[in-house]
Order: sequence, then structure tokens, then C-alpha cells
Amino acid sequence: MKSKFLILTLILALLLGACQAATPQATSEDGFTPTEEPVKETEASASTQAAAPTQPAQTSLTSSEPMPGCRVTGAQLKPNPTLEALFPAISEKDWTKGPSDATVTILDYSDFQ
Amino acid sequence: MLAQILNDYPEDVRIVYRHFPLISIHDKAMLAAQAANAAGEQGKFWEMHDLLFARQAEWSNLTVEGFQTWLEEVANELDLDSDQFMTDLVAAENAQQVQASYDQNSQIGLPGTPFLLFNKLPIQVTLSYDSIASVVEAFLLEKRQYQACPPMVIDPEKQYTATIQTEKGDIEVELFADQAPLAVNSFAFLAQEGWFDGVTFHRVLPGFVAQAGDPSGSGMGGPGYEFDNEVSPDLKFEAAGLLAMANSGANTNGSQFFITFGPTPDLDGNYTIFGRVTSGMEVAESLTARNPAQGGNLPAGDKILGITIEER
Repeated sequence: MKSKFLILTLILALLLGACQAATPQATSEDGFTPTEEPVKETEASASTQAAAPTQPAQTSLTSSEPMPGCRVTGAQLKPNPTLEALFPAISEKDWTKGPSDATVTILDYSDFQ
Repeated sequence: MLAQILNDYPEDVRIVYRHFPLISIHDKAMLAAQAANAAGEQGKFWEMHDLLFARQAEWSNLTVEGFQTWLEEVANELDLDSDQFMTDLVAAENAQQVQASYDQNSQIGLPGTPFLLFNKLPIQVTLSYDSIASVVEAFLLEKRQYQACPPMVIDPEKQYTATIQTEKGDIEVELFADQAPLAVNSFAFLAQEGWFDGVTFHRVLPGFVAQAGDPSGSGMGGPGYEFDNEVSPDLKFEAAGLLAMANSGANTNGSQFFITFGPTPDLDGNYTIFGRVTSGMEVAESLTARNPAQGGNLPAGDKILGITIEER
């Protein structure tokens, strides 16, 4: 049980980092508590080398080449297989409300008291 | 709160409720969960669910026996067959089911309740309508995201200006196409595509910045692509009215941008400055202040009506 909790905590930490909001970060000087971790290295910087070589502006304008230094990110809120394995699949035994093909399923673990 | 979300996004959201009664600190949590299940046997799980939450103050201080009596009364209010309900309430199978749910969720190591997952992602929200709705919007935004990087729509050797039309008035901006061609190109592309139309200045911190560009309003949304930082040594965050790209780390620029309200030297080197306000700074300063990090429901932000780009 303890190790599972650690796993969840770790995954949560990773995910919360991954789903972070874009900043400029407010500093304490501005009277705000910083809300995000400082700049984090992501796979984005590693893939920079894959960026298309810079082209002369004239060529770019007349071609339909995508702009250089740019990468497609895909869905930002990516499914996470490790987490999906941790939480049982939604089944007919669950109490659900709303369409089963909904874009967003909110899983609510809760206590009435 | 979740009922309101469901009401506002009937096509897009599904709620799944799982029992995690904190039995060590809540003496009636177990029975309350059983009551919802028992009502569910008669097709009224959600009615009982809503009622238990809405009228928590009536029952939370009762004894277990008193709570049972109270449940019998509300079963009548919900037009349940109360004899059947009272039987199902304490049925061994029902109790075992709730216990099993508790055991399983303890095993997972849920930190507490309520614990919300969005498509099984534990995205951090404050338990407010606005916060949850913005996460839903972030998922819905994915349908609009680009599958390719934008083409070059600007000539970095030419001069460009932008007019950011907001509900509070227009903000005129000179764009630095020569020093930040990627940021200006993306900004011009998205502006022409109508990406910014109706987008809220979701983060407005007086004295610091006004931030916008995420149609979901959550601060998590982007256009589906990201591009490199462009940091010019001669462009510094030394004044109000600078237009710069927001990011979530180096080279993660998307569609979010901000306007500075004063010198912010701490940002130097980490964010692309790609323009400056030439008129309408008073409009920027009049934008409704809101700090999403504060949590809770925020005042409605001011919207961008549209952004037009002009080549000079």
C-alpha cells in the first residue's frame, strides 16, 4: 500500500508538471507567490535539432513550407497508460451521468460526509 | 458544482462517481454511500447523491440511528419505495460493495476526497466551477488544434502592426518581425485564422502582466504546435507595454502572449519579446484583474474581439 501511494504521488508530481499553465512567472517582488516550478527541460528542447533548417525569408514566403523552429505537439493533455492502469476502467457497475462518448470523463472519488 | 458542469456541457462531459467513504473520520460516510446505492436500486442514485450533498448540514451531526431515520424520511421525499429502500440500505451486499470500493481506493493511495480525474488525468483544480470548466475547455480545445506548424505568412524584412480589439477598446501594437520572426509569424497566422477571437485575458496581474491567447481560458491551452524562443540581447523587459510570448519552459511558445505593465527584468532571457504597444496602453491597464492561481471563482475576464495585422 505504501509503495503504491508513492507511485501515485510520483505520477501526480510528473503530471502536474506536464499539465502546467504557460507563464511568465510572477516573482515575489511583484507581491505574488510563484505558482509554477522554474523553467523545466522537456522533450521539446531535445527535439529542437529536428527543426527544419532556416530558409531565406524570400523562399519561405513563396513556399508553403512550415515555419522553422516549430514542432507539432499533439494533444497537450495526453492519456497516461500508467495512470490508466492504476484506476479501474469505467464499467456498467459505475454510477455515471452524461454520454458515454463524452470528450471529458470526470471521475469523482468522493465521500458524502 | 459538477451538476452545473454537466448541465452546461451536456454533450461533452460525463461524470462517474466512485465511493471513497473516509470511514476513520466520518462515522456516517459508509451509510451515506449505501443510501445512494439503495436509491440507485430504484433508479435514483443521482437524486440521492445531490440531496446528501445539498442537505449535509441536516444530517452530519446526527447519530447513526438518527441518520437512518432521516434517510427514511428523505426516501419518501424522493418518492422511493421506502420499505425497499430501508432493506437495500442495510443489505449485506450493499455494505460489502461500499467496503470493497473503500478498500480499492485506499490501495490506490488517493490523497483525500473529493479527488477528481479528467480522462484519468489528475489535473490540479480548485473546487470551483470556473476551475473545472476551464479544464473541460482545455480538452475541448484539442479539437481545434493544428496538426501542422503554420506556414510563413510574414516577410521578416517588412514592418507589421497589430490591432488587438478588446471589449475595453483597441490596443495598437508594433511587431518586431526582424527580431522575432517566428513569434510574429505565428501571432499573425493565428490572428488571421481567428484563433484569438473571443479569447479572454485570463490572467491579468496589475503591475506585472496581462496574459491571453488560450481559447480555453485555463492557461494550459495552445495551438497544437510550439516554437523556439527568440531572445535578442537588445530587447529587454525594461518598460510597460512590451508584447511577449508566454511559455511553459524554453522553446515551448504556442499562442499565449502577454503585455507588460512595467519593467519586469526577471523575465529577461526566458521569454520572446515580439512587439510593443504604441497606443491603447490605458485599455490594457483597464483590463479586469484576475489571478487564476488564487483559485475560486474569478471575475469574468475581458475578451479579445479580434486581432488584425497590417503590413506596412
